[in-house]
Amino acid sequence: MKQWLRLEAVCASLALRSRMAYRLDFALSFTGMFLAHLAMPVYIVLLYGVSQGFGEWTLSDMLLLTGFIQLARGVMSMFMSGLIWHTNERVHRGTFDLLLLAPVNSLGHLINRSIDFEDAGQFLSGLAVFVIAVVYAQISWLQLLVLLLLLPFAIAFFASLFIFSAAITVRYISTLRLFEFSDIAGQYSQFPLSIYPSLLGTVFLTLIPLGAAGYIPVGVVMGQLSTIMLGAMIFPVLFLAMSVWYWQNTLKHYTSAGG
Amino acid sequence: MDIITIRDLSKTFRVPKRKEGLTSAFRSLFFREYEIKHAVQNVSFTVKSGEIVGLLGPNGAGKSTIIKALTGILNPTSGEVRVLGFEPFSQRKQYVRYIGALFGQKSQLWWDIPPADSFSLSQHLYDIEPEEFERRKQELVTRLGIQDVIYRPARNLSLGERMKCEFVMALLHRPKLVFLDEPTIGLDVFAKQAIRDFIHYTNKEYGTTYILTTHDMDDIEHLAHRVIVINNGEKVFDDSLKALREIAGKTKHVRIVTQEKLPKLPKKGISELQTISDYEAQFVLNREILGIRELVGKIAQKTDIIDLTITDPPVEEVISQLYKQ
Repeated sequence: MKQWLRLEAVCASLALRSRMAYRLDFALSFTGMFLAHLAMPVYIVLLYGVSQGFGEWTLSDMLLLTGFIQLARGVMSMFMSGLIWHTNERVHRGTFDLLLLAPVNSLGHLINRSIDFEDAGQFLSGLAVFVIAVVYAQISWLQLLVLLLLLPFAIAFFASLFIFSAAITVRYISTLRLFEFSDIAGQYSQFPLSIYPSLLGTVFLTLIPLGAAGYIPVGVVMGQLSTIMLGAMIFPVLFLAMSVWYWQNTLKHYTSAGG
Repeated sequence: MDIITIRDLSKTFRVPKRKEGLTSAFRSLFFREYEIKHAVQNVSFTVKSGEIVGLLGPNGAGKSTIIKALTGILNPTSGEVRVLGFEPFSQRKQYVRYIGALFGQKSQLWWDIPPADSFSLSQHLYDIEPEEFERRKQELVTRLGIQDVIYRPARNLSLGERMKCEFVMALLHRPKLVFLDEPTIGLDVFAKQAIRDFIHYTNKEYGTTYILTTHDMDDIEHLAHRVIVINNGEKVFDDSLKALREIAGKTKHVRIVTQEKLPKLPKKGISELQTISDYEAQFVLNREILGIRELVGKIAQKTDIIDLTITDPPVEEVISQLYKQ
């Protein structure tokens, strides 16, 4: 872990230097990502201005749900969103081979190499929305602490989606649009699971545990759900373990480009 | 001491195939057909510490697949592979610490930043002490004559400069064994020579073992102690360079340009004659039947020779001669 963190710092420094080579593109991407991810909270505020919203869930609850998910997605995006692009490009060009020559865990190193600072825009907008939501909802320090403790579970869920996508890319080559499936899962997670049909709600709690990305943590903290529901936070951990297993298994089937 | 032992290595791939045309492309969306491609079949050999071994063969022969199995990138379908006491695929993480690899067409450098920055990643990947890292970097960079080059973004470097930086990247952790997959592809003669000198230097100074794949007979001539020829996934030759030269060296490809009309060439010892113009021709010369000196003497008696190019036969031809034997 210590070496992984050191490599993460080195790769972050190299990625920043690379990105700085194209300053305008960097500035535009960063700003674009920042603004694009402010749309959802604005939409929520507008929706509550003209309707009853989502049943028992108040504007404060919804803003906190959005802020929590945006923060988790922001953290994950900055460190891992490049995973699919990098894997796809490397597998296509055959440079994925070089990654396997590093004396470290292949997935961990791929995450090292996937850091992308233009996604810092999404992280900062997520952080901004979360801070505004916390202030607006007037939650206590204890509630805030619980939310922050549950944040890694949400990040684990989004990370799993990216690891599955990257592994599928290695196995089947050129499946870049899988990124959109991950994005769709992120969008579905921004609403209370109670609005979905019960079967779909159960799937979203267990098999594809997007409920852990925001619905359960915020619902429990804001008193919308029973604390028993926290037991469901085991599912993103299992989901992450499955994605790592799938990655390792995929490497056995890697064929490499060229001769 | 053998540091590489391969016994009956085989690697097969399941490759999709379809006929040409749009209809076939649509059909393959739903009913995909596959064929089994035997990239490597029952290949066995050993390599001793300190050797420079050339893997030679035409495109698609299976050379790169063997290198990928040896580096732990590919999981062999069957057979046994032991390198430096490791089983490369299953012990990849521990094993790759002791090897280096350079693929001529795949870069390890970060494209938009100077190679000097990229080198720092190797330092941390292999836990090299800062002073030792600096000492090794200076030694390699000086030896390759790229002291200034490493501070320019990789995208601004020429192919030769970039390849030298790739060598530094691959050797900073001082590997015992280095795999080179077409390291001189596309390089000019000066860059090729610098890289060959560098390989000789590290082989002599540090006893680094090299496994080299190439299409370039000159690379083999200048570097390899031993040559293994691979064709259609099978080993067809494994011996010294001298032994290969005895097979390949019987024939030379000759191109000649004369001052006046080209005189009639002798029939014995010359084959595949192509008359390009009244003054220029190219052909294959069998040196066992007609020596180069004798040929040049015969032509020079009748006209001045303006240009004469004598080259080794291409790899494909050498292999075909191997089969004939």
